[in-house]
Amino acid sequence: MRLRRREAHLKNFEFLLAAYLVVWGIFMLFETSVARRVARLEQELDRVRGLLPPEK
Amino acid sequence: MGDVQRIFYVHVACAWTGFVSFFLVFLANLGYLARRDPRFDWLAVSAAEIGVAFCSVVLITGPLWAKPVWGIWWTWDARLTSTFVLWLLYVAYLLLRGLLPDPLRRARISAVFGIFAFLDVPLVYMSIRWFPTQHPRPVIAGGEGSGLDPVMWQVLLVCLAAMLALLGRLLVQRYRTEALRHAVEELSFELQAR
Repeated sequence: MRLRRREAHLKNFEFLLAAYLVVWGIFMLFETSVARRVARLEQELDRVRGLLPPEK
Repeated sequence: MGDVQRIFYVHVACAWTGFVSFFLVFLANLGYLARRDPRFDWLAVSAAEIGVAFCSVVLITGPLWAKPVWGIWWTWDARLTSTFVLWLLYVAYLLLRGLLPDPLRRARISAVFGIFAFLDVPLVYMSIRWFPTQHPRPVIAGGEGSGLDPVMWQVLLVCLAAMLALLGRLLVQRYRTEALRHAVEELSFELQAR
């Protein structure tokens, strides 16, 4: 009885797992993409600042 | 439904957080048109990108829940279709920005587009009340016969708080990229002017 109830609960577990993996995947990708853009822009900012002559 | 029912918490929390993101886009677009301050434009594009991420989660977790429960991945039901249109509208908003090189023109045109795009949000919310077909009727604020178990409410609120916190963190980071981009453009312009 208990085993049957447990099996019923575990039915479709792969869909639940897939859904939570999708959530983590999308937000991890977004976070990584934003962090990369910030790093690239900070490098670009340093490069452009270096090209400007120092203020007197 | 078994364990698959637990998709509800993340699906609904992401949908509501997506609505909050699009509402922020709407407010920032109104702010830009009223004040012409570029910071409103930075906020709008940041919130739009995050809103698209949340809406993508909703559009993927929905079919993952639908398949074992309804037996189909997708149907052109009013709620599903209007949510897909919402996603398309904000993807178009982001693509439109990429097509306009002039920052002032880009901010103005995308602000108008963003305000119109927000009109779909109340339509998505009301779709299951106005056109009840495949998607379940509202269990929250759905009138007589609707409601949620108190324990489920607690879990949903925890999930919602987590998603709102994630929205806040992503918004701060994404806004920073716009501020940095602006600083780079300003300095490059200064360099060219010398």
